[in-house]
Amino acid sequence: MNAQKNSGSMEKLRKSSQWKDVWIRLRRNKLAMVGMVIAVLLALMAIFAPVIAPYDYQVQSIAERLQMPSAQHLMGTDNMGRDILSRLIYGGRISLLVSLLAVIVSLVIGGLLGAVSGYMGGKVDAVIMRLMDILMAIPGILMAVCISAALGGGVWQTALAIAVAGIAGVCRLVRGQTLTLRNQEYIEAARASGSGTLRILLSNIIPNCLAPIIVNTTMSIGGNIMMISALSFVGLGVQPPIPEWGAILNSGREYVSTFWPLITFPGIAIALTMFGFNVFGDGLRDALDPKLKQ
Amino acid sequence: MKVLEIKDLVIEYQTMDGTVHAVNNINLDLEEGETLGLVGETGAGKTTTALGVLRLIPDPPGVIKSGQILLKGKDIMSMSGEELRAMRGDEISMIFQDPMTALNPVLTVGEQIAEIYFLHNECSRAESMEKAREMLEMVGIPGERADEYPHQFSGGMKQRVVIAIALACQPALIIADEPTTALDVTIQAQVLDMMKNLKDQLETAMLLITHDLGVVAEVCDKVAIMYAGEIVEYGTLEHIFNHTMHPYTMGLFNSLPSLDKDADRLRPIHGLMPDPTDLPSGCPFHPRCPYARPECAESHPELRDYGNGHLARCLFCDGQLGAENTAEEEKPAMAAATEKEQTLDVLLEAVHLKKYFQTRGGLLHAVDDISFTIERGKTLGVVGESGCGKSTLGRALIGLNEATDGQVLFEGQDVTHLKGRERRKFLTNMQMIFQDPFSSLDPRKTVFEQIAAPLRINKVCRNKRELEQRVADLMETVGLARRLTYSYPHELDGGRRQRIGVARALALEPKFIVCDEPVSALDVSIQAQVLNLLQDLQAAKNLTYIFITHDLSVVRHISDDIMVMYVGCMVEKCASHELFDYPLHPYTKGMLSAVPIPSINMEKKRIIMQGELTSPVNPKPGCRFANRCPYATDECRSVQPAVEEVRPNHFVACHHVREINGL
Repeated sequence: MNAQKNSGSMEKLRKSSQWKDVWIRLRRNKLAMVGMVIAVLLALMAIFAPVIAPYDYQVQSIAERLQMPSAQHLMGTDNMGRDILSRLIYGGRISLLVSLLAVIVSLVIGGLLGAVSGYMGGKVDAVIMRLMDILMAIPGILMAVCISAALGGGVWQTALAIAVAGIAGVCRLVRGQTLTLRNQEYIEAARASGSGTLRILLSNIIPNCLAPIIVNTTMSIGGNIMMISALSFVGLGVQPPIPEWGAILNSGREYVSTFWPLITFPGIAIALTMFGFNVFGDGLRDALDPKLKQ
Repeated sequence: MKVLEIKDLVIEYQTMDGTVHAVNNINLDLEEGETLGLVGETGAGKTTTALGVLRLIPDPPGVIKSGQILLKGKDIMSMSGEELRAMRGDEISMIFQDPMTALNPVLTVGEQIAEIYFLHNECSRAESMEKAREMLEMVGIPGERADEYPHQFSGGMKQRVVIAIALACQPALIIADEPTTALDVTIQAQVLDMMKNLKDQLETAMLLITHDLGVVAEVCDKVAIMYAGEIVEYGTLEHIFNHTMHPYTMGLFNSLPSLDKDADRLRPIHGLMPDPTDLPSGCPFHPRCPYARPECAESHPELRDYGNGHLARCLFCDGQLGAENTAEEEKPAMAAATEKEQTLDVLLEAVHLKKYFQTRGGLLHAVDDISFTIERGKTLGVVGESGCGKSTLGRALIGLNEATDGQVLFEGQDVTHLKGRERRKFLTNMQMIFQDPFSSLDPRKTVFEQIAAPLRINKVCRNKRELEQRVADLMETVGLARRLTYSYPHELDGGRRQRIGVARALALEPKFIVCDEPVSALDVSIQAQVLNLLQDLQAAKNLTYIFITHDLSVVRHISDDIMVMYVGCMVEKCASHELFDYPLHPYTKGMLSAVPIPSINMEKKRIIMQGELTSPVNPKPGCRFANRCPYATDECRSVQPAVEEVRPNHFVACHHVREINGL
């Protein structure tokens, strides 16, 4: 009913496209915009790291080790005398790239498996879910450790390890959603119109699973950054001297009480990233849900 | 003594879109032992009024702006939280619409009733349990069943339990919000009967909220008709049913398909309930009123007494209504044009169709050996209570559920087990309109996308322009405004949503449409609009319908033939008027007599059918109706009766049909 009142303005914007509509709804959510700005800045920072970073991230200078923040080194230097700011900027590249890659891989594989499993049911469901049970039985970090150990350290290997550890979670989430959606009449209506299984999955089921998927994705970007650091810590993740936020944070462990910049700045970077992605994800979920349109 | 007095009650909801005037200045009172029916369509403010009496309005966004609510002379508005808690359940109790969700699944029903005694009467657990058993006996459930859990009871039994809980503390007032809407007719008849008896026994006052004028005629003493948050007419049953004054009330009666007279078209109220954030000036009903005059848009009528407590809120209802503005009735040109062709052209035939489902309990016989034919351009109504397999039958016909056994012949071609591309091609001939206009539309797709989907899937249109044109044409056919093209389903009301469903079904120009309860989720005035639309489309496009419903008056209105189903089996099939005039099967007779009729002038001979439906899981041999049938013999309990043509074109499955009906 309220739609009629606003229909004049609504219609104009609808005609353009659905995505423009989403964008307008997203823009009204201030917190989400803050999150998006953070995410975009981080991405830019990662892409243009060589341009922005004031120093080379691997040049060591024992003479300048553990310096407090100053005009020369905005965030001080680490135990090897490297510029912390430069290492954070380069480290963002690794952290973001690896965790994004991992999220995308686990989302695609887990999402498809979950949708198929939930929609088909029966034996297909049983087989997929038992496989997921096996994945779930091994703690995610242990799984990642095993895979990294087998494939060796490195950016791609780390991403793959983390992705595999995330598949089961996404799969279960999407399967649960699909199970509730499967019995909706509009799915049946789509079948009555002649849609095949694949079409129903792609055009009806997955779009309607988007909300929890997006929230899960943004949450796991934060979680993945933590897992990368954990892997780096046991020596299986990204290998030094490539900087990585978790690794930098870990290297500051010994200096917790004596030299605060080494743990504080990477900590802030990780926290800020997680915050940014989380609020952006929440906002995106609301913007993508036409029911929440105000 | 007055149990409840509501004076000048105003309730508003503050929402993002503005203030919703849910209840505007309502005055009501209720004497001891009296039942007041609060009638109106969705959004009229009935439930808000009831929640207001319990002070259960969610706040925010709801606010009781002004007014007084007196319960036995005590002002509810000034009560503290503690007093309110004591009052609820003890002085006022509420019966909710859906018994499935009103009971706690992890407590036994006995515990749930006993809890009320324990909380309010301060007796021990054991005593409470004892009283709970008594209460169950009172609503017709054996006391031993107190130790069972809700899932062990059927829908009607659960509603009895809910009523037992409501009655437990012998409250002065019961508020019943659509108490029988979720129940089947025969079960509804049992529950209504029980409610009437209990009311007489206990002298409890009852506020009955309903949209069903038939139920009102059965149980109420007084009626208040609500529209847009106001009472538009108020009076005794006699006043409302026999001396209707307000045009809205008249419109409600006209929208109802009747069980006892044939009408070609229903006369629905035009348009929709106004947006409660933006009520029209003057009389809120004037934009829809067939008698509206310019004055109606200017001054807001007062509720006036027209003698003996018959109140109405209309400027001209004292005999000055004048002629109806018939100009508003758009006579669809297409409807008149085509006479139904009288050729005996069989479009669809089902031959010994069976659909079984494997469940944990055993084999569920959802559709058990049903055979029938439908002629082109006709409507076959399928009626039966929930769980009788009527929806499964519809889905099996168009191949949404593949039949276990038997055949479906469409224009002579066997289409029972089509797969892949063949099925898709064939599906363009057969479509389905679904029951729930809320769950049958994808919430993330615009109206355009919903209607375009079948066209896209089947690659009917060559380019985007053609697609847009087709969708626009379809929207016009079903009466959807162009400006709604890019709206999302949740922005539309039930009637419009159902029109989208109809447009989607029509998109591929099918010959045959299965309508699965297409109007049961809609308000009466909207229901009438959609029924008229379906009839017009049938006439214009020579469509063939299977119309599945539990509503006997709707099925009589729309069908040429009717098939009655009971627990997976067909028990009777004949021409529509014949079924209502000469029902032969004992179940049909009982079901017809159970329908509450919105009239108070008819002598009702009610055959109350005892008991509940038999389970369709691994059914025993014999007639499935035998356990409820007053004529059942040993033969009925052991041999399943075959379908026989008892009179010309009148098929019945009953061993004793001839004796019972003296044929």
